Amino acid sequence: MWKTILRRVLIMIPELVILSILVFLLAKAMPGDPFTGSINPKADPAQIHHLMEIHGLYDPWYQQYWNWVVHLFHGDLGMSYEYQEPVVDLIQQRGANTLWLALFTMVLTYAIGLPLGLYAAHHEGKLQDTLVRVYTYVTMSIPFFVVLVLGIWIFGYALNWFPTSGSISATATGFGATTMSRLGHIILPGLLGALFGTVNIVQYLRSEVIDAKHSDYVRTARSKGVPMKDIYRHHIFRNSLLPIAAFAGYSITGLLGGSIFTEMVFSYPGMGLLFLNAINFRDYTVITALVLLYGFLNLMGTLLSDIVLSIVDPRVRIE
Amino acid sequence: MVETNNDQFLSIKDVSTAFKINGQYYDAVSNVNLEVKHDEILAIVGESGCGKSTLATTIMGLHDPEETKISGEIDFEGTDLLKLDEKGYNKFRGAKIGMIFQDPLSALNPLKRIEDQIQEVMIYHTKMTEKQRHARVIELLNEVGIDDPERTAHQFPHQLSGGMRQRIIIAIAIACKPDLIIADEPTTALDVTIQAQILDVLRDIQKENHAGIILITHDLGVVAETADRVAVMYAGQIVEQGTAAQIFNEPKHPYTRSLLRSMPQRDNENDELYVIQGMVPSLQKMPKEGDRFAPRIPWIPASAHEARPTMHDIGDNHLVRCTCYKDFYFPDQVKEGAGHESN
Amino acid sequence: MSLIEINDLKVHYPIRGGFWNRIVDNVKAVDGVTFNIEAGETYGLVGESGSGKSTTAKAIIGLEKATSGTVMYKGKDVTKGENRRKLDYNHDVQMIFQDSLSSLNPRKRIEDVIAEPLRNFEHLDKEEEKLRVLQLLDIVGLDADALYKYPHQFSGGQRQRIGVARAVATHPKLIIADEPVSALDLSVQAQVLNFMKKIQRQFGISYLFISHDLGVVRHMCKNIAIMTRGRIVEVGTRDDIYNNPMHIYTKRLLAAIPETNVNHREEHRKHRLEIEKIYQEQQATYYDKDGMAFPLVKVSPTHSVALPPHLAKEFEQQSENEGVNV
Repeated sequence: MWKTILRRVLIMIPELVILSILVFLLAKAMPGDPFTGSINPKADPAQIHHLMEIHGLYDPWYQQYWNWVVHLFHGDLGMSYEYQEPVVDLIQQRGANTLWLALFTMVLTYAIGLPLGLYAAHHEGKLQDTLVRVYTYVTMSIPFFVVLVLGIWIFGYALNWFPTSGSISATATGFGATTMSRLGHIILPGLLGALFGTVNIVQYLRSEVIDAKHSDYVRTARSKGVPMKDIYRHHIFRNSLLPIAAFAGYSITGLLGGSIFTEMVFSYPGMGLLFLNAINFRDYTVITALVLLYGFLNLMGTLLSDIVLSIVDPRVRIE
Repeated sequence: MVETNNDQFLSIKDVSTAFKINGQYYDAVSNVNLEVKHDEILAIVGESGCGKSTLATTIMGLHDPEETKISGEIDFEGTDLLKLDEKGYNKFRGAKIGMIFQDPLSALNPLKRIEDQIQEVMIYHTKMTEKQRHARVIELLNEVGIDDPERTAHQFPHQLSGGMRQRIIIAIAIACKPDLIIADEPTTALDVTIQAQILDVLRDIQKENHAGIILITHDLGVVAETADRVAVMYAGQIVEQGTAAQIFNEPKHPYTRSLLRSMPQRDNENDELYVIQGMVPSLQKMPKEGDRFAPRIPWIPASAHEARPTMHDIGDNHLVRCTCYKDFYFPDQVKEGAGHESN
Repeated sequence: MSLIEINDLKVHYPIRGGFWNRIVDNVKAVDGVTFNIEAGETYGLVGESGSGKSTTAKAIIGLEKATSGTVMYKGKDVTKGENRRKLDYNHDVQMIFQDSLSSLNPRKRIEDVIAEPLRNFEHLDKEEEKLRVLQLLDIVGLDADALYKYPHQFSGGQRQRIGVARAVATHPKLIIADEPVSALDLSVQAQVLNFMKKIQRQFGISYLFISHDLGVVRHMCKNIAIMTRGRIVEVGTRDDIYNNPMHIYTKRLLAAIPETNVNHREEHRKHRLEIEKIYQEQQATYYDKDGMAFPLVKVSPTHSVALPPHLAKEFEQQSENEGVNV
């Protein structure tokens, strides 16, 4: 199994190289240059030409790419033109914000989704099941941003229970207060995101459990004289949680990318908002870095899913 | 026709199983009477939809009580199984009644080791220690003819062949030495050579444990090779019942005779096979009265059938439903008189 | 000349392994299969699961790429795609599958299911097409109202007959039937088998009849090949195979078929166990060091067996002598 994982990691290397070349070339292909806007608009074109030259921007693309890669390995992704800060620092700050929100959302999503899915499946076809399904259908049929806007309006403005923007209160000092403040800022977006995210898990788990319930191996267990509650514990739950466990690896890296909707509505300074702004302001260095990062996260996500799956499923583990 | 026999430990009396379809109940099994003795193999044979598997799951109590209505009595060593609650039933399942299923791959949990799946049944019915259970697993695997039991015990279902998996299923079924083994199409998914081996294993195990086996199958060849007694089912009812010799040498009911004639055999290899007219009615369209097989032998006059067909003992406990067998003849053959036809 | 000649057909699948996932070995699903099908005959191909019989069928019809070997049809090798197109091969050769429910598109009405090959190969106008479909339904004994139903509305036997109707729609020369009755009840099986024989008489169709059920094969086929581990181990007429089996594998297979004669149950069982014992003892000698069957040796004009070298010698000499005598 370790061989397979190692091989997967090795395959990731060329994938990342190709991705980075593509990202780099796309950024190069964008119209404009990085200097025209950043210096005096009346500047002499000759001066820009000079700047371009000393920054190596007339070199052949592979040389420029090589320089970029070398910098990348030194942890230098360039400066953000918009924020006038190193891109790496920017991603670190925003990434931390997003990480908290993502973890919180994910924990909530599973904490709500798993019991709800199991509960619905357990009461298949009965009132309890219908209620859960109504919830999933309703949530699914409302666009996410409407939920966010409604949420922020009700709990933020009308009830004033939660802050409506930012990631931390400016007045908070000391570890306890800052932590509480951070938490306060992510509860509402996290909860709303989770309410939305659970729908998939509830529906998926429900159908997995129902399938397992009617499976032949459960019938075998019943004919062994195993009580139904033990069958749920030993056979049904474990088997139906398997695909969800595998999917978790994928969804955590997805969440790390940041939710553009949530962060925009809550003005939450995370990766999603950073990406959105970078596009708005043609902040090329940031865009390149983020696209590369998203690609990397994606690859990591699939890898993580496969690793989890190969740990929990003997059919994958032992060929 | 119930004879008193000390060996007889299971008697199914007037059992009907009805399924709820669109709010109404329809009989999948109608008024079945059967007995099983120790040391015998009773085959229940019939085509798909005849109710043979439903009867098996009825005995095991595996039906959802909200979707099914079961009536009658299943007397198992003095206990009426149909009166038991779920907890009471669990004392019989796996312990006194073992079940073998058709598809050995899906019948095993893909995520659990063979050892755990066999041990599970002992955990609920015995006070054995982990060590004793392991010893018993190895003993069982030997018994069902697995060459390297220690290794197999440690494996997962997907690592085994179909025949091996079916042996595991049998090991689970016999782990607690049940008096009754219900085998539902145990060899249908297997190759003929493996089928022969599995049937041998079943026979050997039965001899060892003095169990009674209910063998459910659609395969007349399997029945002829293994069964002591045979019950032929059509449309939820038993239409003929007797010893294997009675059923195969002197079949009486038109359905049994038709079925045997539609089978490709050595002596009819160049002929057309006999085709039974019409189709098995669906549950919802099952006639409430009269002989259910009558529409498939329309050339037999209505007067030959009973209005309410019952089982008739024609000697030596050979039972036939309805009186129409006396007048039955195949349309392509000359009528020879009272239901005699050389096969 | 035969309708179709399969010559040394091989289908190998690579096994990848090791760290770099290189090809380390081949699964020899089909490894050197040779036989001919005559016009209007039913040729039986028998084997247990994993024997390679279905892969052989797929390679013949072109659903599976042959690794090597030829399938000669009208003098051309139809393992090559361009020859298949030139000869209209896929018009002349049709297939019937075991699982009629999954092989018929559930969203298509029967009219469209049956008309599909007609639309692909024959350009009929609406009226003509409908007429043909109705004729086909009539041949397979289904009513005209079947036209507008969907596959799931039919019973297994009816669906299998629809599959047959579709297969015969283009008046093919050869129908490859892969376990056509395995999923059917006895009474329905009888219906489908009779019907296959009937359309054979009517249209002079050849069948390649693939099955694990030796009873059904005996009923349907004049010539039979027994296949195991990717190779044919015995080939002959029905009489050769059933009354004079010579390969240990064939003997064992035949002994395992349950007999419906209850009176000889014990004898049959004893016979089977004896054969099984011999099989266990001699099995190794019947396969080479790679576990593959030996080349076929002619033991009579119609009967060939993959005998081990020491037994084969005898027959080789015999046939040489015969050659001299003639």
